[in-house]
Amino acid sequence: MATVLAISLNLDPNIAVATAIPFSLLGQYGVTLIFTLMSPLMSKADKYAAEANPKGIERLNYFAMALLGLIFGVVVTLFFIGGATMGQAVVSAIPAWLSSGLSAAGGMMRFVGFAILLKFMMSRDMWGFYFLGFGLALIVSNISALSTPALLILALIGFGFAFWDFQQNTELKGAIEVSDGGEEDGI
Amino acid sequence: MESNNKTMYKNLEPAPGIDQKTLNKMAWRSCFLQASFNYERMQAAGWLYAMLPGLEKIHTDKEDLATSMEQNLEFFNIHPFLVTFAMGICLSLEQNKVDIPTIRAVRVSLMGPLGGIGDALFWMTLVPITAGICSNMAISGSIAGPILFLVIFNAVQFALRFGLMNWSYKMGTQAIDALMANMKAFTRAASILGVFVVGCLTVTMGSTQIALTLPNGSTESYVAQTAVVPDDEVSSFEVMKTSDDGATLSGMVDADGNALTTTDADGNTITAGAKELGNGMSEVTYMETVATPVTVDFAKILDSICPKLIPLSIVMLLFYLFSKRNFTPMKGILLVLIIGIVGAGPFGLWTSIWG
Repeated sequence: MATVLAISLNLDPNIAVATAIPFSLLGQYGVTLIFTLMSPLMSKADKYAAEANPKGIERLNYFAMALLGLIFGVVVTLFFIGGATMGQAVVSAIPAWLSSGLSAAGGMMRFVGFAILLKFMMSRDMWGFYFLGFGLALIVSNISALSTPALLILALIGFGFAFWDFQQNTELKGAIEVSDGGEEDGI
Repeated sequence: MESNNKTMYKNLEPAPGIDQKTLNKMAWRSCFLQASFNYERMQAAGWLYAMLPGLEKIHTDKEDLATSMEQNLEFFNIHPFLVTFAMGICLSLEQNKVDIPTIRAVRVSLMGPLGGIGDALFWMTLVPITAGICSNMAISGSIAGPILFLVIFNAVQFALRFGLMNWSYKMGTQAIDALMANMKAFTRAASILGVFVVGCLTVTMGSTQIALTLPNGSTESYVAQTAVVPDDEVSSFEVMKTSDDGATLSGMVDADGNALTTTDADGNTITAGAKELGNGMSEVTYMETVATPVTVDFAKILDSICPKLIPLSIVMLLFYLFSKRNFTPMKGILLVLIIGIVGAGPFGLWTSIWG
């Protein structure tokens, strides 16, 4: 957006960036809105999947892309028609509670995805690993030096637990049984 | 969504290998991973879109295709440039008709590590270096700068996309025999990692916080004041005003005649008292009581119990609703939307609680 501005109006780059702010805000609102509105559309996708309808999924994706493009198109067009002041006017016309509420809801929307994953993966003996991940992530993500590779570090730790469990159930199980003479509470 | 609870495909005959053309098509399609990005499932629909050419080849049975499509439409979020690595592995699992919980667990556990690697590789290594060099070229007037940047960036991106797709697919196909022998243990291990990763994501991707502050009375403190007065007026500053219970509200000494003290903004202690200036005047330092309102910061209290308590409790609430109350995802989304808007104080009824 700032690029379009700077070139078309021959603006100084710094001024261009400043004028672009209301529009980048508008674009941000548009993105938040679409990412929120696209969530309910996922149930449509679920239906296509249940019908084994690949075309439906493809159409949905193209539709979403077109919609996002349209929003950005509208924002850019608005600028060329109305200029920077109009952008500011549109931004201030959106009530703060609505944008704050929508972005809060948007931030929480992913928990729906998490909860559904958990629904399928969770069993009684898996809870410990969920909270293990939660607790370790709290520690790792609070160390600022580790915040970028946090997920990789966590995945390594998680892999360690998973691999150890795998070994317990395959190779080591046999070894322990032999050394314990087949006692049932060997582990 | 009943078919989501299936654990096996109907046709368990491993499908023939996926040809290069289909693999390439999938790698191309992976560019649209973020197409229908949304806050609920993030890249799920884009992922399914990219997987479809392979899935259609593998699952000739329509019911199996539906089952596979449904499970590939669950929450997914990965680094967009490294997605083909996950695609290749999952494709090899699908091709061998591995049971569905295993495929799901592998897919979920891949979400964590690749994100960090991808960001470190692209946004912190490739982009700063190439952009730095190319911007310098552009600033010195060379039109090749931005073009070169785009060429390098996309060359690396596409080489990775196609390379990872082929490599991980081959790797998955080769590893599958070894895994098949210990399928049960492998599924369990993959689920452990999967659940672990969801636990981590709850922290790293859960940014919801309540920024609520409640007024909780006020606290009184002394603020030092100075004045220059004639020597004989100093005594009148000793106690200027007292409250009903005898505490000094402003002045130099408390009820027992001891000098009042306070600390200023820099943390230095100031003691009330008078200093003779020698010309019949004294500089008097006296205290004035100032009431400052006290607020209870909700977020601080919650964080002192356990950080990220809000994301955790929302996930737990939704998990309960989905698994015990048979909530559909749609109902979950609506609930979240309502919580978000109500919390923000619709029509300015109250101040937003979201931080």
